[in-house]
Amino acid sequence: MFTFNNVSVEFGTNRGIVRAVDNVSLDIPKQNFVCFVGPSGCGKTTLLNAAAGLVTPCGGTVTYNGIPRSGFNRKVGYVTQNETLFPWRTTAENVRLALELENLSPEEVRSRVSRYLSLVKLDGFHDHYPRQLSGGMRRRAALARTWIYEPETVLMDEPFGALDAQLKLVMQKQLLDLWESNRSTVIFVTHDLAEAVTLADQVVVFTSRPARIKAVRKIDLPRPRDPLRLHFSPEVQAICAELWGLLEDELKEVLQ
Amino acid sequence: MSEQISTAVELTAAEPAGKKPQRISMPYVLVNVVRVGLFAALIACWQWVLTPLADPFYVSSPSRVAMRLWEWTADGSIVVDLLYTLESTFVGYAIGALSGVAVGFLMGRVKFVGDVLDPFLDALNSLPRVALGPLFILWLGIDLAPKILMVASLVFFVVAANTRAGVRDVNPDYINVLRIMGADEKTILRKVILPSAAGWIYASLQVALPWALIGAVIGEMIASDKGMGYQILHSGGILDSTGIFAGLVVLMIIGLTLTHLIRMLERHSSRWRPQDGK
Repeated sequence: MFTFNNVSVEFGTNRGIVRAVDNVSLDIPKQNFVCFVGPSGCGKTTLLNAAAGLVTPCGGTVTYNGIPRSGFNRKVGYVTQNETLFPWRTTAENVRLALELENLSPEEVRSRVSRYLSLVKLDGFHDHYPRQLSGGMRRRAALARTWIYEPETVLMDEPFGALDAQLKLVMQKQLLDLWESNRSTVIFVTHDLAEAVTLADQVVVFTSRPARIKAVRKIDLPRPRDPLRLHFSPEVQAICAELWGLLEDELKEVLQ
Repeated sequence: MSEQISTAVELTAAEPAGKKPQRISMPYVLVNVVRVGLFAALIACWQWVLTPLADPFYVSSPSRVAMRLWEWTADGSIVVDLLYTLESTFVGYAIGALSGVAVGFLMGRVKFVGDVLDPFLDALNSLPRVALGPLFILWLGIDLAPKILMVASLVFFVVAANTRAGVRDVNPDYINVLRIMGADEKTILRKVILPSAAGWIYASLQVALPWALIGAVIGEMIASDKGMGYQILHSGGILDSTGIFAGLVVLMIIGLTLTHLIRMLERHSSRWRPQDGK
C-alpha cells in the first residue's frame, strides 16, 4: 500500500519558490480505488508524480509497502494525461512495450497482447498506427499498455480529461471492467466530481494550491458498478453535491 | 457512437485512396509524359539549336557527349574513374555518417558534453571545409585518403548537427513511460531515443549524400590522377568541352541514384508518418 507521510513538494520558478503540495498525509490501502479531486492547478498531479517517483518531495516521505520510493519499479504503473503512445509503433507494438523488458516467449507476448487489446475492445486494430486511431481508441490503447504488465498499483492522471462526455462514460465502464479483472490499487486524478464518485472507494478532496487534504469521503456504492447507469443516479448526484460544497469554498478563494 | 463514426472517417482518410485510381493516376501519367517531353525538348534544343548557333568548341553537343560516354565505356576508363570516385564517396560517407551519429548522440544525450562541445561544433561547421583540401593533401598525400577525409568532414557535421537536434527533440514523456516500466538507460536509448531521432538522422543522411559527392569531386580536382573530378578537370585543361559534359552527366546519374536509394530506405523506416498528399 501507498503511504504519504507529511509530503511537501516545491518548485523553483523564475518568480521564486512555489509550494505545490503542502504536508499531505494519506494511506491508500491495497486494492482500493482512490480518486483525487481539487481545483485545477492545485497540485494533484504533482502529488501523483511524487508517488510515481518522477518528483522528489522536499519534505516528508512517500513509501510503498513500507519502503521509501526511490527510482522506479514495475510494481507501479502510470497512465499520464498526455498522449504518450509511440507514434512509430503500431497499437500491438505499443501495448507490448513493457513485456519487451521481460524474457517472455513470443507466443506468451502475443497472447497477452491479444487478451488486453480485446479487454479494451481494440481487436482488429493491432496493426494500426496511433495516428490512424481516434482519441478514445488511443486512450484505451494507453490503458492496455499499462495494465498488460499487471502492476500492483496504477496511477492515472486525468486519463479521460480530453474526451467528450458520452465517450468518457464508456471509458469509465471499460476501466472498471479492467479493474474488476485484477483489482490493482488505483490512484486516479480528475477534476470531474461525478467521475470520481462513480469510480472510487474513496474520494480525496484537495484545497487550491498548495494542495492540502480538505476531506476524505468514502463511497459505499455497491460493486460492480455501471457508470452508464450511475452517472445520473440520485445517490451519485447527492454525493457530488456534498463534495461540490467543499470545492466551492476553494474556488471562491481562487477567484478572490 | 460518435467515437465509431469519427474512427471510420479517420481511417478512410489515413488509408491511401484506393477507390478512385482514375483520379489519382491520371495526373501522374500526365506529369511523367510532360517530364519526358520536356527532357527530349531540352536535349533537342541543345543538339539542333544551341550547338549550330554557338561553337561546339564551347557547348559540345548531346551526340558528341553520347559518343564520348560510349568510348569511355568501350575502353573501360570510365570504370576506373567511377570506382575511384565512388570509393572515396562511400567510404568517406560511411565514416562521416557513423561518427556524426555517434558524436551527435553523445552531445544530445549527455548535457555536459553537449554544453562543452556546442560552440566547437558550430565553429567548425561554419568553416567552408572544402578549403581544408590543401591541408588534407599535405597530411595524407594525393591518393584516396585525403579525398575520404574531405568527404567525411563534409558529411560528419551535417549528420552530427541533425542527430544532436533529433536526440534533444525526443518527447520527455516518452522517456518517462519506459522509466516507469523500470527500463534501464540502454533500453531507453534503443526503444525511444533512437526511433524518435531516426527521422532527423535519415533527413541528414539524405542531405549529406550530395555533399559526399561534392567532397569526392573537389578532392579529385585539387590533386589526383583518377576519378570523375580529375577527368572533368583534365578535360578542361585540354579545352575539351565534350569531356566536361560527359563527366557531368556521369556525376548527375550517380547523384540521382544515391538520392533515390536513401529515399527508399527512409520511406520504409517511417511508414508510421503520414505520407503527404495521400
